[in-house]
Amino acid sequence: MTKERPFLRCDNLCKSYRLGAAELHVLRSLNFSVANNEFVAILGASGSGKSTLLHIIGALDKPDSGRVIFDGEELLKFSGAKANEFRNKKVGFVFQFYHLLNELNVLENIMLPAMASSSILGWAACRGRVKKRAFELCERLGLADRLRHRPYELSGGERQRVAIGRALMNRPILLLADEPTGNLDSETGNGILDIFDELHRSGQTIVMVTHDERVAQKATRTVRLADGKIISEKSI
Amino acid sequence: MFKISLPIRYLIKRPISYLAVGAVALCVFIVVVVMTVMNGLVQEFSDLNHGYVGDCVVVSDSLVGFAHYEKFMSELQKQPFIAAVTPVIKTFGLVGSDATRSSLGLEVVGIVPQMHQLVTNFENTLYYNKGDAKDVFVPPYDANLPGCVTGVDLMYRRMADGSYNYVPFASKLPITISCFALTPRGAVVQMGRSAAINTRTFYFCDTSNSGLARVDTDSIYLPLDAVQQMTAMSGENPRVSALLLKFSAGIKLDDGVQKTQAMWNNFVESEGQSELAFLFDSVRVQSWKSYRREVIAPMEKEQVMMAIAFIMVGFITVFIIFVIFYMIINQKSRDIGVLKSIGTSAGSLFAMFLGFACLIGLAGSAIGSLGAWALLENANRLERLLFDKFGWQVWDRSIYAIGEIPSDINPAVLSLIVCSAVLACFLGATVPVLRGVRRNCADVLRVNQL
Ligand SMILES: Nc1ncnc2c1ncn2[C@@H]1O[C@H](COP(=O)(O)OP(=O)(O)O)[C@@H](O)[C@H]1O
Ligand SMILES: [Mg+2]
Repeated sequence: MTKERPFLRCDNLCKSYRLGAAELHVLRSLNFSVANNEFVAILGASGSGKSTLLHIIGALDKPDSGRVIFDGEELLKFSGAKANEFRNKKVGFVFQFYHLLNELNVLENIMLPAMASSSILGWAACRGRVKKRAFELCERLGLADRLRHRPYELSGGERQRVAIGRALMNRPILLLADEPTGNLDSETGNGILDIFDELHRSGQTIVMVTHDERVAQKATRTVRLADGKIISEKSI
Repeated sequence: MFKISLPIRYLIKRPISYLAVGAVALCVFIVVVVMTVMNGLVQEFSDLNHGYVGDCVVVSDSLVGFAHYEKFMSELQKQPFIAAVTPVIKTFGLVGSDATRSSLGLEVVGIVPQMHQLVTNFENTLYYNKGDAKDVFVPPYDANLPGCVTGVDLMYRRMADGSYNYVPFASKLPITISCFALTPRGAVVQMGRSAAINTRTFYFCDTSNSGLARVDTDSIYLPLDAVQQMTAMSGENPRVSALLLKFSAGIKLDDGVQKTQAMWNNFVESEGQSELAFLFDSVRVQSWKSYRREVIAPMEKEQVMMAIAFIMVGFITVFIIFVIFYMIINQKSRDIGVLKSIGTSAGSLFAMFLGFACLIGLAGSAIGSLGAWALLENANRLERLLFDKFGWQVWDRSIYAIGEIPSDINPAVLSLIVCSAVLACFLGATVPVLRGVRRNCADVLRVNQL
């Protein structure tokens, strides 16, 4: 599987934070790649830099040095507008703490990425299609009877499913998940992992971050992050 | 799309937004009400002064007045820019009444009623002769007696509601008036060994309610020729204290005053050889505004003070709105991070939050203006209701010269206030939004994970 041409490749990523006089080197010349249709789990202790890596891949943060090649293009050279488009269309982000907007209901939260990228006039044209897609996602994620609920009216598992729906809205090439089960009990967490499994089966490329070995086992490949580097790889 | 729907949801769903709307509404309300009342008072007061004086005065600073006024009047009357001219004497007098056994030092005003009413609003300040002052000095009970008109506050009590307790008078009411006779040089005229103080009796015929407190408590109006005789300003070269002028319609005040001044200068030059030419030295040509400056200016000054005070209120508003927005947007920095993580541009975020600020500004202004309008529309009714029901008088009409609370909102002032309010919201929102948008969204999204 790793023999396939990687469509995401990180070369020599370095990232450090300055904490007063001391410098904290989180990523030290990290190399990492993901091929199409892979489901990769990044394992690592808390504070090892997993989120930092995922943020860099998702263009939410920038490394101090190194390159990220995504689909043949260099991510770090994107202009502001292109980076926005990348975040909007190419990747979907699932966070440990869901990060839904409380003022919007389930359906609107899921439609948000489509809303964000369309002008007012454009929205009128694509509204029907977007709504249909959001309904489908809700159906698929078991949220069909929760469409008008607000995030605070939902359980943790339901919220995470809404967040997954939002991430999938614009059919991203790559789904990034940062400890998606970290805040859920194991049964609910398994439900979320089943969804990832199913998504992967239908061809979705997923990079998931976790500190939990059992969670990582659901992935097709697991890499371990320690000392700012990928230290071991194992494929299932 | 959510550029519109999200701001509206923010507005509706967050209690703090209502507080922001309330803060804006209150400030707009207060500023509109105070500006309207202050502007109205100043406007009304200056209208009353205008009505009292006419457009322009040719006035002597000296008690002895100036001579040759009739010649200058006839020159003025030939000018198309002059609509009417009237001579006036203002002097001091001792006024006594047998009925009240009181004696007062008052301002005696000598006028020619049928001319005076063409220049001033005199005829409309009268009670019994309202609308036409022609026969104002003819007592109704005996047309042969000399009549006088008093300032309304001299004769009648002003009631709490601002009206006067006019009692119909059937019998004659004599008033004795004494004036000092002065020579053109200003000396008291000597008659034999004692100074001449001319005393005459006049009969009350009417009151004048000019709306100017000082005038209505201090003035007594007599026929011009009578005053001229009592002050020794009659004779071969009769004198007056002032000429009051009304300009023709369409003449700008400053232009009219300038033309009058030029004519006066020529007149003084042509009369330079006259025996009484020295009296011209103390004569000034003034617009009604500068003539009544000393009474209008304090009021205008108060208005300026008020304006400054309310500009400060405006600054406080901007600050309050700033704080509220700072709080809202700081609370929402996670939302901004989320929106950025799904690819929303900084421009859209700005449009969204500044749109939100605009909505708050507009909603607050609308509510504040409506409230101010409602209050002002009903202010007088409300005030009367409070008085009738509870005997509580907010606006003591026995004191204020101006009877009604002004309630006409000036559209220019209103739009200025509303624009400032919306701008304040905009400014208040810009800084925190800028800060929110600039923050690294990875940091913001990590916050909850610590
Ligand atoms: N903005 C920041 N400033 C300083 N240190 C940070 C910042 N963000 C993350 N770190 C530190 O970097 C390290 C890696 O963080 P993170 O990538 O979130 O770890 P993980 O997700 O693996 O738990 C942690 O020690 C964290 O404290
Ligand atoms: Mg993490």
